[in-house]
This record gives sequence, structure tokens and C-alpha cells, in this order.
Amino acid sequence: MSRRTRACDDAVTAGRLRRAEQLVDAAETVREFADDELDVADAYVTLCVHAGIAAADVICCVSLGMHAVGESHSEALALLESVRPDGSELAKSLRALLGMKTRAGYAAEPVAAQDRKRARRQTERLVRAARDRSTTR
Amino acid sequence: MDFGHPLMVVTPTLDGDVLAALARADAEFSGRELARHVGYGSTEGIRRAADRLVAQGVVSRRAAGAAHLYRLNREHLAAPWIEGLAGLRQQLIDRLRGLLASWDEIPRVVLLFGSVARGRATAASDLDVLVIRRSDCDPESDSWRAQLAELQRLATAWTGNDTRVLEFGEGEVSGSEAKSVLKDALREGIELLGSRRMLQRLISAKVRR
Repeated sequence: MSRRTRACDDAVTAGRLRRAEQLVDAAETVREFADDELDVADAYVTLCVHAGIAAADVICCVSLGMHAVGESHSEALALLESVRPDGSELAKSLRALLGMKTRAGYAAEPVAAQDRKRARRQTERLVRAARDRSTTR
Repeated sequence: MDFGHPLMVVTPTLDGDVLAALARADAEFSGRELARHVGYGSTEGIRRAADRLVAQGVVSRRAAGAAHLYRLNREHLAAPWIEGLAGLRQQLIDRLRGLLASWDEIPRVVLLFGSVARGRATAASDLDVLVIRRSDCDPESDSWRAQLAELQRLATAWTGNDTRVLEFGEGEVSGSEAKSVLKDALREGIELLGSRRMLQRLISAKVRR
């Protein structure tokens, strides 16, 4: 494979899974304890995006023995897409999350409620798929 | 079944594990990458297994410099069955979720835990399922007992692994005898219904009283 990847062993896979779950927990905690969800919308979505990226790494580790490194979204998506049987669907979730990343981090307007729900749904899907596959805890 | 080596249900050889590794991704692997991914066996042994599968047409091989790259031939008549066998663990999880979703009396949380969740289960391992009842559920009712019996019977039939259902009411999850196993389930559990977060809340809520 010519993509920029890093081989992963059980320790890397378990570490990325722990990271994904910590970020999901952190996202939910941020949301639950906010007086107004809008105040923390950007932080919430940013945590979801990073949880989704970590979960995608776990899925790639289990199915390919390697995960993407570097900043290239397209390489990470292509790697996830090659996972069978559901890589295409999972890549759609990651693509949706990556699309929100820049806006959540830099745009002046907070992320809309609809996008927060979308971020949550896509993140849950990726983290669940990672957990279902992973045999390292 | 052996959850770490799903193709053992049809072949107890390295070839089965090579096929399972190739089936999990539509990608090319060198012999060395395959050996690392399979997790045991020498690189040379893995290459020989892959070459045997090339001879059957189910794996394609391409030269890349000094190396050979292998990929599952997904147009082969046998490919759908190989993919199916490689995905047995996920199929079990999906079936269990489907079964639980059809229940009349819905539990609060159901987790698959133990060696199956960790992917370390062999054909001789138990299949451990943690079921947390809702507070308004009568644990002695015929309908509840029938649901659990069906879960136990079907999961055993689907896998050949003896299924053990560990059952608690939501008000008793922080009991001292339960703590260790709940800790395991929280760490390694695969969510079949509800979430580990919910289980954590139930445990914490009880502790605060």
C-alpha cells in the first residue's frame, strides 16, 4: 500500500479504542453539564470528530493491521472504505464528521442543533463498529 | 466456534486464517503484512498458504518489485461464503441485537462480555451475556423467563458455545458479589441493548444512596 499508514499491534488498537471512548464520554459530559447546549456546541462536535477518527483507526487496525497517519482526509477515508463488509458506510460517517471539523473549530457561528445530532449519530456508529470489532480492551 | 479463528468451523489450517484476514478488507497485502495481521506463523508459511489459495483462484497475486501482493478475489464463486465465515462474530452480535429488539419485556441493558467480547473465545468457551432487568420487571414471570431461555438456547445453537446469562435487577447492580463481573462488563462489554454508560449510571446511582 502506498498510503501513509502505521502498523498497529494490540496495544495501539486498545489505546485508540480507549481514546475514542474517552472522547465520547467527554463529549456527552460537556453536553450534559452545559447550561445551554449551544454554548458548548463547537466543543461537543470537535470531541465527536476526534472520537470518530480514533474509532476509524481501530476499525482499520482490526481489518487491515494498519491505520492512516497524517492530515490527509482522503487517505483516511480511502483506507476505511477498503474495510469489509461495511467500510463504505463507515466512511460516509467519517466523511460527515470530517466535514464538520473545520466549521466547529473555526467558524464564527456555533454548530446548528441538527448538525450536533448528526455528529452524535455518526460518532456513535463509528465507535460502536470499533467496539464490536475490537478484541483488545 | 472459535471466535478468534472463525474459519476453523470449516478448516483447522493456517489457510483459513489467511482467508479471514484477506476477507476483512478489499486491499492488497504483502506476505509480511499478512503474517503480522494473522498474528502467528512465519512469513514464509503465510506466503505458502496464500499461494495455495492463489492456485484455487480465490486469492489473486500480483508482483510488486521483489514482493508479491495478495488480495481476496471477490469475483470468485466462493468469496461470499468466505466473507460470511470471516464475519461470524459480527453476525452473532447483529443477531443478538435483533433478538433482543423483538422482546416484549425490554431489559435496561444487555452486554456481551467475557472471552467472546475479547475475541479470545475458543470452541470450548462460554458465551457470557449480562442482562440488567428494569425495575418494573417481574423476574419470576413466565414471559421474562421464556425470553431468557430463548436467548440461551438460540445463542448456543448459533455458535456451539454454551451460553451463560448473568441476570441482575437494576436496583442490585452495585451488590458486592456483582461488582467484579460488572467491572469486567463495563470494560469489555459489547452493547447489545442499552449502553455501558447507562450501566455505569445505575451503579453510581446506587452507590450514592
